[in-house]
Amino acid sequence: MKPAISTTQTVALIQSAIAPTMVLAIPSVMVSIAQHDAWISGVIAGIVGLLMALIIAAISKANKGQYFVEWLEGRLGKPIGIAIGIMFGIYYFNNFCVIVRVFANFVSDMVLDETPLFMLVGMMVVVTVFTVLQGIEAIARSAFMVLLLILIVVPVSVFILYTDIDFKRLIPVFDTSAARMAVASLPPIALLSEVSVLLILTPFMKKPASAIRAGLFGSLLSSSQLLLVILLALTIFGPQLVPMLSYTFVNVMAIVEVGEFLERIEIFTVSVWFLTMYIKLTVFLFAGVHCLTHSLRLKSKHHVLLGLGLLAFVTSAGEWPRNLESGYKNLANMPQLLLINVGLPILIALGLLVTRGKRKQGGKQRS
Amino acid sequence: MRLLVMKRIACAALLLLAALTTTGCWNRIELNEVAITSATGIDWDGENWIVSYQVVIPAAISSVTGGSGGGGPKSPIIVYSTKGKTIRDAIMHSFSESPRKLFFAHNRVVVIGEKAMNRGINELIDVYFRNSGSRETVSVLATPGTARKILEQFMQLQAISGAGMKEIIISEMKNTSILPNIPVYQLAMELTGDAKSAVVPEIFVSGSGDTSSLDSFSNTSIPSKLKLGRLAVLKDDKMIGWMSRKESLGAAYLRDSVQQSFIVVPCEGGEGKKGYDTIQILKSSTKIIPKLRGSKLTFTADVDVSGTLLESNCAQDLYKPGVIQGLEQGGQVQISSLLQDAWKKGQQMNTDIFGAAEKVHRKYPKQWKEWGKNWDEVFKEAPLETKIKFRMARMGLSNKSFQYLMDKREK
Repeated sequence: MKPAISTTQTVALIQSAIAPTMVLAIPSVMVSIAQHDAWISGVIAGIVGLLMALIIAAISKANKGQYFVEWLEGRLGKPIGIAIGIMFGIYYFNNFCVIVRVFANFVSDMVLDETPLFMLVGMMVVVTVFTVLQGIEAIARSAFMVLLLILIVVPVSVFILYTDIDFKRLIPVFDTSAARMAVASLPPIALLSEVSVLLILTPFMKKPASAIRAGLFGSLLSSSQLLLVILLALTIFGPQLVPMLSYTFVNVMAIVEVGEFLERIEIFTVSVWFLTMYIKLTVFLFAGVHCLTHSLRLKSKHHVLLGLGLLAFVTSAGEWPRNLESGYKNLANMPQLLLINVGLPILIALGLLVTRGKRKQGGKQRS
Repeated sequence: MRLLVMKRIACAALLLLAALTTTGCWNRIELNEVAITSATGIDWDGENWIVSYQVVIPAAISSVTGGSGGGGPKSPIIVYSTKGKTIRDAIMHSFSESPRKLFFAHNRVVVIGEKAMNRGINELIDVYFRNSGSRETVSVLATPGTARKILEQFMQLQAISGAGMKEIIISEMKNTSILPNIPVYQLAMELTGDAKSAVVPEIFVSGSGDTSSLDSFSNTSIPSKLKLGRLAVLKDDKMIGWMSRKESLGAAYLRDSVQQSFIVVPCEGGEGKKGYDTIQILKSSTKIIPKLRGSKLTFTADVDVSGTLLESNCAQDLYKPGVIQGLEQGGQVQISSLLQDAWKKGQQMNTDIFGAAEKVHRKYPKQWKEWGKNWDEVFKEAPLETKIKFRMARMGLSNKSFQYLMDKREK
């Protein structure tokens, strides 16, 4: 039986697939480019993100319930379908390795500074593989629970930080040149293009017709979180200090000091962020395994998962000798992100348009 | 059947094994392996950084605060210093003389000696933002001598003077607002701001001698104590001078950081007798508004203050509206002169610690591109106009001063 996920769960999955890495390192990069107008770049990125979500959702709506690779094979022919499937598979696996490493770097920077990297990477991969083994339904349910936690943590954080916020730090508006604002909006746009995971998730949805809604809300939730972190960072620290902070959202929470009883509460925010990061990891590994299994005609998903898990562990722990090399540049590898998440879907859309007349129901559904 | 049992046993064993990995972090550190630092001192000897640590001795705290224990009172803190080319280099040298690893998460204050302040403190800020162990909410204090001397002092009512220093500065800020509490992150924000200027409160040893021995506490008064004093003014990351307490209060009004404060206003009772009214400031808000007059930049400080009468030794009937108006006018004059004095001092020191640069940047973004290059010169020439709105909200529990009643009886 095909597992089924609700529209709300899809929204949760999409926001978890985009937001965690976006709020981690992007705000300080954006502020260093667009200074106190970085929030405008956030808004621009949010609008572009919505447009991308709309396009992706429109493409995925053309799929009437087949698995991604099978659907492509049926519509565009086997070789093209397989090629696109492999490309997506490699992309998701590759990014999975990068994210694991960035996540491990963060953990060792912030809390477990003496724990060896292979241990952190190993634990992360094991937990992710275990979750993916439970199937997409389990991942979707966890994603929804995490989304609820975010909806609790965000208002509480803003309330606690209220006295430190000074909106005057955003003035004068439009002080930075339009070009700089546009440049600053590129990294989040690249990450928001990860909404393309919807192409893979739609066949699992109970109501594939609401893919557009899921895509739009997922993208909107992600860009709102980014905007919130940028606004908090700017209104609390001002534009000069933010570029110095590697993990802006942690620093923002770290300054909370209410009397002598409420201190060091950043650990709560970080804990919830950890959970979203794990959901992101599972979504990416799931997508990678899904694409590769179907493209390469492999029989056992479980074996592919275990194999990829092992490979990811070795890659994440050994690929980058220095932490810096695995940081922001890899995370927001714009050409790669835009090529896979925007370029390929556009090609798919063109292919679909060309083959509209000769639509056929190809490929058996595999479980 | 047997296989199933075996499988279950294997699963249970695996789970138990997994439980072993959840017992703690990779490198566990027990509480009795760390030296909890309550205050850090930073000095500069011309070539090296000297970092001093005030480390808490948990076992000795109870003996000082009245708990039972064998022998006499023991010092609840110990102070030692290490030297190095960089701050972290100095901290690393502590491993060769301390049996425990320094733990900075509970550090309350960082005291910086005058020589280090004059040399520049960029390195210190970098240390705080780069390492997760030290917190950016630590309060910064400056001292005219060496920071180590400050760390060595005991304090009345508070066994750990590091924590006590933080309590004093917070209490001072809440009740008199003369000196602000400056956490490391705020210092960094001010130094990187448009004016690149910042302030740090002063702490010094007042009185004769010092109170670095518990013997001093066998008497009812101690020979010296830690006391907050003036305001250190920094330009870029170096100290360029001090502001007096009066100027510092004026600066607090201009920086809009007054929470509660007080002023003493001269008053005149019947028959020309002079005295003083003490007014507690309950609320205060200041807006600094830049204006362009022709091509000249001027500033207006719009201050809105409300207060309550705490003490009066002039013979006055507070029912009379004229008396209240007199009080309010007296308050206005006092605050206005505080503001002007602070502004002039800032101009003399060639540094804008009042946030005027940010205000100008926000209001005149185009002109700022020109002024920003040479802000000190522009600021130096800019006059300040004050508009004080002073409102006496309460008169306390008596409507006539006691002196008024006495004078009336005499008549």
